[in-house]
Amino acid sequence: MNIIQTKIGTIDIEKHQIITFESGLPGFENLSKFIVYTDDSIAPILWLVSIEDSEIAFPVIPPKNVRIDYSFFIPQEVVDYLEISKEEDLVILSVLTIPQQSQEISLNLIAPMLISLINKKGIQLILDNTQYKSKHLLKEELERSQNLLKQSAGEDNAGSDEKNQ
Amino acid sequence: MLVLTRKTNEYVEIIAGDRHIKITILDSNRGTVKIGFDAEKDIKIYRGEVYDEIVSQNISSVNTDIKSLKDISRIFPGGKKGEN
Repeated sequence: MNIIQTKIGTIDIEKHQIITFESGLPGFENLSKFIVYTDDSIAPILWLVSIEDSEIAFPVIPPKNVRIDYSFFIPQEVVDYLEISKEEDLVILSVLTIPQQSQEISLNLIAPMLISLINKKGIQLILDNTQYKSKHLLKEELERSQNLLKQSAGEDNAGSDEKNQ
Repeated sequence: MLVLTRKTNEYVEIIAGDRHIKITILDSNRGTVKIGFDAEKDIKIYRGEVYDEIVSQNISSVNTDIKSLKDISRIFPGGKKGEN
């Protein structure tokens, strides 16, 4: 056990919690060691916390909490790199951007963080040929997901949701 | 910055340690250049503006005010869990 000073305070970490992003993250190429920190008071938001730079932590969220039908293709070389063979081997997190105006909170769906529970490696994958963008407004996505849930709950209204593409 | 002039179908070879990256000019037409990359699969190649966009999102994410998160987490429909 190690006590480490991070952006979100002093935390105890154990070796097995450390995720290695070998090539860093875009904008933070020099940082490779992170942990996923759970804080019940902000659930379902989590922190991806650098253990090398006490100024750096990203608020992240499992994207399906926001966009229920989120899906993308993982290239074979990434699957190999992460040594994953099934969905449960992988944790997917999307980066939240939270400006002063909470109306404008956004989620980066074009560059999900993939974390392997098998070899504890992580990468921020930048999706190719995708409808997803780096900025999806949280409010719009939650509304969209709720509408989808309502529709699948059976009230088959012919009207579809034209607000989002 | 190293500047080289290349014609269509000519290439440059980048060698980093034991790794080779071959960049070929496939076509050029009115200011638009089509470029081919031959590199090992784990070498990531992105359009500059796409990569820059992710960089700037990551940087603004890191500037989040920690205290604001408690309020924001209330936006989410109650206690739903799900890893991916």
